Amino acid sequence: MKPYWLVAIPLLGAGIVWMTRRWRVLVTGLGLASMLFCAYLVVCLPLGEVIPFLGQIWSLDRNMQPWLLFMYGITVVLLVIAASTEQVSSFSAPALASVGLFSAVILLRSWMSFLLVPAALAVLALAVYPSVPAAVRAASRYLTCVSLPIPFFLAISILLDRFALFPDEVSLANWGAWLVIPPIVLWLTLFPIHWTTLLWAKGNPPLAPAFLWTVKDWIVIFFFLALWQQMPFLRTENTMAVLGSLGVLTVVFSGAWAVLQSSPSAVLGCAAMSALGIAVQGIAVGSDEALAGAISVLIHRGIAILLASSALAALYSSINEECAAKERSFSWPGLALLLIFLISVLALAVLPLYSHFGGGQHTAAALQARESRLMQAWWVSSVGIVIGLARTSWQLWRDKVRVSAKPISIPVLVAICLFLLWLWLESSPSLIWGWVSRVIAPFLPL
Amino acid sequence: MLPMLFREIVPFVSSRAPQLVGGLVLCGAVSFAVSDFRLGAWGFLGQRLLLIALLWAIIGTPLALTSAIAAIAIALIFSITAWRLWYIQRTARKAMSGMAMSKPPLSRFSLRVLMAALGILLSYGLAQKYQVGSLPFLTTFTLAWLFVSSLFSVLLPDNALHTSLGILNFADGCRILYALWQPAPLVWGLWTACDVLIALAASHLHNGEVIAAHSKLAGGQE
Repeated sequence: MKPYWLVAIPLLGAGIVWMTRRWRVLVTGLGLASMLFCAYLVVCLPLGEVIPFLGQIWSLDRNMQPWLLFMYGITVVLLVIAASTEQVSSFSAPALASVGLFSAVILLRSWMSFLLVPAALAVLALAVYPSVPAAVRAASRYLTCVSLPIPFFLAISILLDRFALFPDEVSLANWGAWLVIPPIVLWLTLFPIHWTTLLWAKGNPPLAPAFLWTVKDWIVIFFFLALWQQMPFLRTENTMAVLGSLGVLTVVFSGAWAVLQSSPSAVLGCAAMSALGIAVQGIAVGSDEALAGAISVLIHRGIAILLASSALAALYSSINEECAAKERSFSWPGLALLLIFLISVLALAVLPLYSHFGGGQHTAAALQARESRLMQAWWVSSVGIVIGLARTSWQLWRDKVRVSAKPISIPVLVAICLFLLWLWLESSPSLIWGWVSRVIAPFLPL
Repeated sequence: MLPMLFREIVPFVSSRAPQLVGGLVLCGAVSFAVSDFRLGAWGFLGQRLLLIALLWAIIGTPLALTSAIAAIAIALIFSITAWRLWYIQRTARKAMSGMAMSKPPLSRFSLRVLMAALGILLSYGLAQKYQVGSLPFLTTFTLAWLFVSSLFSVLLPDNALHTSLGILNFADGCRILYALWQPAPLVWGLWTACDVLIALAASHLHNGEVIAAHSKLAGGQE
């Protein structure tokens, strides 16, 4: 087997899953099988081998493994969560296709990735579950956002070609550095377009948005880190200051917006975007510690989002089946799911910087070293998220938990297993920090 | 036969450039103004094919053919979506015994026609006022039209298909600038593939919009 199979298998899997999307068991089984096989390949393929294929150089090295494995791991969990919801048929194929294209971004690490990333992001618009009109509206805006950066990269390549001819004209490189900022904002949906994925998440268990907040953000950040590593002159002090400010604004406005939300999924989205703002600030600072802190926040954030999504999916699926059964009374599994959801969103809002779990204090120290405003912004955001969470969780309690009569089922078990896994991971900071150091190793010094 | 036809395209385009640009703008205005994509898809196809014909001499036959095939694929996706949804709406209308079903009001159509006219005027003014480097007037006008119409389509979308039209028009404008530089075949091919993916995603979103609206309406009637 060659590295390009890591692209072909998910794409092939996506095609088959799309054609057989009426059979839930087949869809889930195929999706899981293709992801697990890819993870197996990542571990077993010879490292450092260079394979020319389709005019491109494909290679898998030791540093790419954690990036790929994190992506596959998150997708496997999301596919398992999706299996208990009505969204399984619409979510699985686009997620697999997107993973295939993202694998190409990691394996090729070439300039061409600026076209592969928007292709992978556009495919995700197919994962919209159109029961809530807001989700379709948000996905339309998202589609616009993800396709706009292509011309920016073409302009950068034109500027860099001229810069190669005239190395004295530093302004060309400066312009190139400024042109990198809009694509980051558009692909990570930072302030002022941070609302798109929140709107998408409204009213449903947020599966496609969870994929965006975890896998998409993970790969987009990989892409930009690789870009800055290959072309360090595209990372100037001014542009990084602007990027850091946008991260801080994302933190503040996501938190403030959480107060206005009426749906628990949207509050989860606000918390996820707020944590992303903190991570972006760390990346903008650029020191080794800050970068490690940012990646640590991203990893904790990904796990917390999965946990919250699984709890919401289990709560929503229980109420749907229960409505059909017409039997309504209080049940302990419902309360447990609500608590899991609350803990995971609070973890997103509060834990990333102050927690004794997961080396949170190191992260705080690294990020605060360069940016004092971040703490104030983060406090504002946390207060907003907690208020939004209190409002929506009361609603969740009243409408879903108090009337839930569902006994312990597979979605509940999935959520509880994820919760135990999360507790174990959060109480093993050395494990996470070992992982973080492997993830950032290829980009040091940035 | 075909190679001979391709050879004839370049001299024909160079002698009829103003008419072709006029046709391109007209097709674009039609696709922008009509809400119904059974017609709008043809407007889009006309605009794209005329643009490819105008760029033929610069990008060469292989890239032009790739773009033409992608344009036909996109128009087919839009057309199939529009016809399918028209059929669903007609069936639903019959089932609901003539109840008014999401038919765009005339005032909205008039507004879009006015906006298209304003877009043409604005593009003409911009092209007259600002010359981009050494680009000829017709190229600047085409660029201005594509960017202005894309802005209007994204800001005033009737549905997801109109949003995608804005995205594709913006891409076309950027593609003209890229063609004038040194277009790499791989970049060009991947970019057109992205366009097809965007059209597919927009078609899915529009399906979702219409089906959600129908379910809501059906629920309300029950």
